[in-house]
Amino acid sequence: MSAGVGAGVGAGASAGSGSGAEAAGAPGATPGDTAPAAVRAALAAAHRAEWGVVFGTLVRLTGDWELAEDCAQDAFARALPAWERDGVPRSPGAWLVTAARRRAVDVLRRRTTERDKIAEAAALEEAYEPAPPGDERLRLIFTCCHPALPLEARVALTLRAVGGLTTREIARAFLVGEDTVSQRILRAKRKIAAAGIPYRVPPPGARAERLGGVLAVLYLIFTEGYAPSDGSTTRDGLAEEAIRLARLVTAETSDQPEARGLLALLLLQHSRRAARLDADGGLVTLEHQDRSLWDRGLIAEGATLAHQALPAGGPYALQAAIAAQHALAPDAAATDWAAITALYDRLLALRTNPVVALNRAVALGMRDGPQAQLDAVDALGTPKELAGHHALAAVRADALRRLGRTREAAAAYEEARAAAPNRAIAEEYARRLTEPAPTEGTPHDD
Amino acid sequence: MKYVLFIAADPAGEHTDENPEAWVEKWNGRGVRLEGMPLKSVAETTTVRVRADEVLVTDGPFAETAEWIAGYDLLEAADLDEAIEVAASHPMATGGRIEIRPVEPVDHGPDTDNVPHEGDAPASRFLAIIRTDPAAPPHTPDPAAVAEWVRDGLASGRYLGGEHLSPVEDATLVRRRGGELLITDGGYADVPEWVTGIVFVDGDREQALEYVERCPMARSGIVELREFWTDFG
Repeated sequence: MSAGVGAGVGAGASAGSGSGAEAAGAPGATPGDTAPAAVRAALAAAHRAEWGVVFGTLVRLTGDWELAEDCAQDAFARALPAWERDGVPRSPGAWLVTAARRRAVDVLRRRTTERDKIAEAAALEEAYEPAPPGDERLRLIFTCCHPALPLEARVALTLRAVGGLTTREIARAFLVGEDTVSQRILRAKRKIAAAGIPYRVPPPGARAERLGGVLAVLYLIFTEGYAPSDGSTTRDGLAEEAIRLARLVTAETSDQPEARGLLALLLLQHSRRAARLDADGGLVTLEHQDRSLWDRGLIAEGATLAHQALPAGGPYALQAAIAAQHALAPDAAATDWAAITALYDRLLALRTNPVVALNRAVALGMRDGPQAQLDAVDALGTPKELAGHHALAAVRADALRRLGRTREAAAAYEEARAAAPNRAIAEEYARRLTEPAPTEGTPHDD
Repeated sequence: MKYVLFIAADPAGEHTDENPEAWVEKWNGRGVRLEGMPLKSVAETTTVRVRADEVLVTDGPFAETAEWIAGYDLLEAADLDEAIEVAASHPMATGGRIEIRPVEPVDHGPDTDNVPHEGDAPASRFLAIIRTDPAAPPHTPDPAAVAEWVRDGLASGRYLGGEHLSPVEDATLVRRRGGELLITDGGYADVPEWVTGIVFVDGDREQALEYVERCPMARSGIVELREFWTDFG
């Protein structure tokens, strides 16, 4: 990190509580403090809370993403000695924006003698009007997540520009080279300028649709942390960063229930992180998880948000409501499968999706028994999204096993095991294959 | 900003009976659409390349793809979002696919400004689509040679303007499928021979061909000569 400050992925404030967005300083750092440790802590907190605002303000004022990044970095680098000398300012965010703006004026003055650049610099100095920090962040995140940018570039640019992560931190989180991340960010910045991607929050007509794109990027960041595509164990830092960004978006889009729905879904999924893997790093399925390891604080917050988002009935809100049903059940047997089946029905009514239909078959099986599950799976046929997918064979196998059709179950488990994307899942199917036939039963079997 | 829309065929497009007349009227009325014309069948393409001073003329497009350019439109839009709005409202966003390309201004020197050919009846009969050829050695045409070719064409009446496009990395693809608007990064077809510019060429087929054979961009790239669909309605 060039400025030598800032918190890495997973460091800094926990994603679990507090807004973090409007933090005025580090805990324990009071305005005027000059103690080196307090100053460093205040600066790290300011980096997490204010990077996007400083960067976004400079993009808005200069229209130049490279210059904005240079000025934001410069402001954070200057903050350390200045704050050690003069004390932590009362409003670190405002101090940083001012420092970055001064730098922009200097650079523009020095860069060229062209009359318009001088005029631009003068305008920057005189006519600056601060915008609410939330507006700055929202403009930035909508632009970073513009659908005309390649998806990988959207992810990298969002983490860099809004989240304040360094290219190195992003590279490490996604297990790709630093050069790759730099190229993606460079490409995104180039396209924003060359293709004329506007720097703004989309107008009301396009807003809900574009917000969907923003939420999709945040969900992708989260799932990469939650179930990394390389099959390695979870990377909590990335999941927490996604939650932090979802909080920022939710705070600024109170009229958009789907933002709330996404935040609820992330919190509820994240609440189970401690119970998802066993001591050997194997995947523990929901029904076998130790529920005492679930984070009750995250569940309470997530369930409340899910409840608020549900009436609008968007896809994230419905998924969050399903996650809340699981999270609030005292044990697996007490799960309200009727409610979950009904939520899956609503989700399917929004859009036909074979993966959702498969999950609905499982819920239905838990509600009405294994024959209903088998019928529902067979009714799906083999849609191309599920062709060769391990879960299709596994759900079928589970139903057959519970029906006591052991030989057919064994063949289906073998099919699922062969198609499993990683070892943890393959081992789970091998284990179920050897599980005694129908004894385990289900809550509503008889 | 100026944008070129490439209206492209797509076998995966959905059936639509809507014709673009209302679309043309709407965006012309708002001063966003400057001009545009449909092209005759891609099968009638003549492809021109010049390699080591040898002129190679072949029938048909350079690359046979399921997606092909069926027409173009030129826009003056506030930003990409407005260009997307325009593209998304075209019937061919549903029936085909639309590529949005930002125009890069090029100055070929005095008196070579693009000839305005606004309205629905551009004077030129042909459109020369200039593409990169990844198989050819990298080569940037000499600006002086291009300027001379343009001046020459203006004098002879062959050249009626053109647009240079920013790299295909800046392209955005717009489609509407199942009522849903799909906006993605990328061009209309996944081919390495991407379009770098368009030139309006007038004259009969022989004259047009003779002119594009002298195009400096044909020495390193590919020039496809397409005829406009001017005799409809």
